[in-house]
Amino acid sequence: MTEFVLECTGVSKKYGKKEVLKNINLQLERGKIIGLLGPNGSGKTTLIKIINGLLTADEGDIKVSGEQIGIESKKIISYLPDRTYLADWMKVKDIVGMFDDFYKDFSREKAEDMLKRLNINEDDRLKTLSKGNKEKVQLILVMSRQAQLYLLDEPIGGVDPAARDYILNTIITNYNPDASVVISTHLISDVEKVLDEAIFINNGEIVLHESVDDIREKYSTSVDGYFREVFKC
Amino acid sequence: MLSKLLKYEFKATSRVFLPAYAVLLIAGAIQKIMLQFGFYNNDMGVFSKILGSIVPSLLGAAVVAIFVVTLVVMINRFRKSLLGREGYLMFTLPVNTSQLILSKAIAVLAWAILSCIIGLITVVILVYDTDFVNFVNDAIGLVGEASRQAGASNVVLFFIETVLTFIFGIVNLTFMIYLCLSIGQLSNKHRGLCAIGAFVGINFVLRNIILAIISNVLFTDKFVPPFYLCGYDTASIVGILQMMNAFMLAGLVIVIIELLIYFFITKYILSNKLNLE
Amino acid sequence: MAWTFKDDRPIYSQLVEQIKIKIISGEWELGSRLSSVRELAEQAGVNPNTMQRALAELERDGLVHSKRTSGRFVTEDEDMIKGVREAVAAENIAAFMESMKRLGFTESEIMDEFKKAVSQQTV
Repeated sequence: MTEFVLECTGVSKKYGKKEVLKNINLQLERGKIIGLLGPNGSGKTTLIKIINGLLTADEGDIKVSGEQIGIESKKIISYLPDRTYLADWMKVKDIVGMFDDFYKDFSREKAEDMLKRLNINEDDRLKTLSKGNKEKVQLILVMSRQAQLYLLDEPIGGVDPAARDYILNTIITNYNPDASVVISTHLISDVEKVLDEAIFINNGEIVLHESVDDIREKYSTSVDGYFREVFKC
Repeated sequence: MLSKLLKYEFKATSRVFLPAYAVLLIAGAIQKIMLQFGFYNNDMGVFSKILGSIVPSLLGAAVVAIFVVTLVVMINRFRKSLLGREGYLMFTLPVNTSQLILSKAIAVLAWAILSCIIGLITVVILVYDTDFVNFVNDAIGLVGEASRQAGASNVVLFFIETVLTFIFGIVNLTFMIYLCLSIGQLSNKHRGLCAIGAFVGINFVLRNIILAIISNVLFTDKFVPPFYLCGYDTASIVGILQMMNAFMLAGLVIVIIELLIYFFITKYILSNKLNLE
Repeated sequence: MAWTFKDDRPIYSQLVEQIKIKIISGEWELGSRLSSVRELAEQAGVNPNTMQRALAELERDGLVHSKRTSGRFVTEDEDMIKGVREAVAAENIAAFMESMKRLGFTESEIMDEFKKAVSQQTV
């Protein structure tokens, strides 16, 4: 296994004239839970989309566990977008079956267990689920995979506090020293205790990449507090 | 992976087609039974006359509807499942862009062929009587006669080319529509407009350019038959048949070259310029 | 007992303190086996690496020790725990004295206030 689960070198992306990502250089170690933190429009989602192959970088090189972005990298990345991406007509068990079909590292038992614990019936059509339950199903699918890189885009955004705790709890219990989890979020204070490292990104550039402990020691404030200082309006 | 994608593609689309086919066949059967037992011949006067003219045309409309449904599904499956929210799932699956495109195209082709067969069966159900049986026998006799006069191989070739023209015609239409939708998704705010614009552009401009290039390169007397489209003896049946075969073959070549162009541009756009909503 | 965390200090050092308290109070009994790092992290709602770091520090301090295959255990050294409890008590007392002095009490006044409070409690 490569030392770094993700390596970005000189990654840039433009939309028309606007530079959305400028010369991003990033190395993520394995076994870490990392917060990707930044204001709206900072380039968080663009970076995540580039890593999972939904967008192509204009410049630069990206390696996921040593692989270029493509089929091999998609096999080892588990992505949770900030919106529902499931086909309405499917039943819960259909989408579980689909993940089982396409991903070798998917554990059907784990998914079924989590669904049961959250009282989500496998025979229900996705169309009939509440928004909260749809998001939980997506989270369960993503976390039932034994991937090397988890990319979670705003996983606790529109969810109630109890569900929030459940999601963070799932992230903790899913911990695997060979894999890393990237959580992109605004809700820093909620996730801070779970993070190993924090990356601050602003205007397409990485402003900071340090461990949460170091930030607290150096600046005598939480990451949330330091974020507010750095990104003061 | 392609077979897995196909499995889910068929699962998704059969929910639309199978009920539609069932309705069509059942309606056709009912109509046939009513006709057979002289339901319309009873003296119900105006009522039976109206029924007698509405139901057949409704049925005719239903047959047409099946083809419309096929077209709509062709467009919608691509748009919804690849370019909409579901795209976030599809494009992060460990599969090729080509496999994504092909899985949808193959499924649509299968349904198109099935739709034709079902439509044909429905029509046969409706018109099946002794006159029809005689008609079929006469037709078969005609084909036999043509084989003897024009050569069996030419006749077989004719049928094969007709089927291939149908199949590749559908694939061509499919990839052309996919290309229009892919061009449409490049825009942020005017996806539909751009797709339609692409449709116009491709059909009125690109197609003509391709045709001009091909006909000036291939279909000239500098090239060998079978692309040589002149010099057939149009007085004889053999000649006519051979000429038709040659023209169909030329048409097939054009259709295939076009569909390959559409496919590769679509693949390029979706691999490199993906712009999901 | 619930785990609570403050914002301005590293979480691992707060974990060290809170685990220390659990040990010296007897909540985690002498010689008892600790849950796995992952389970503890889950209970506390923190990153497993952070919990691991805290436990490593407690091992260095001797409050906790690991047996190669069977996991981590609270120390059986009663005297050490007594020593740690007394040290923590001394810290708490010092902090208490500090805050009372800031209110303007002298040391003898502090003793009086303290005795008053204790006698009221036992009633």
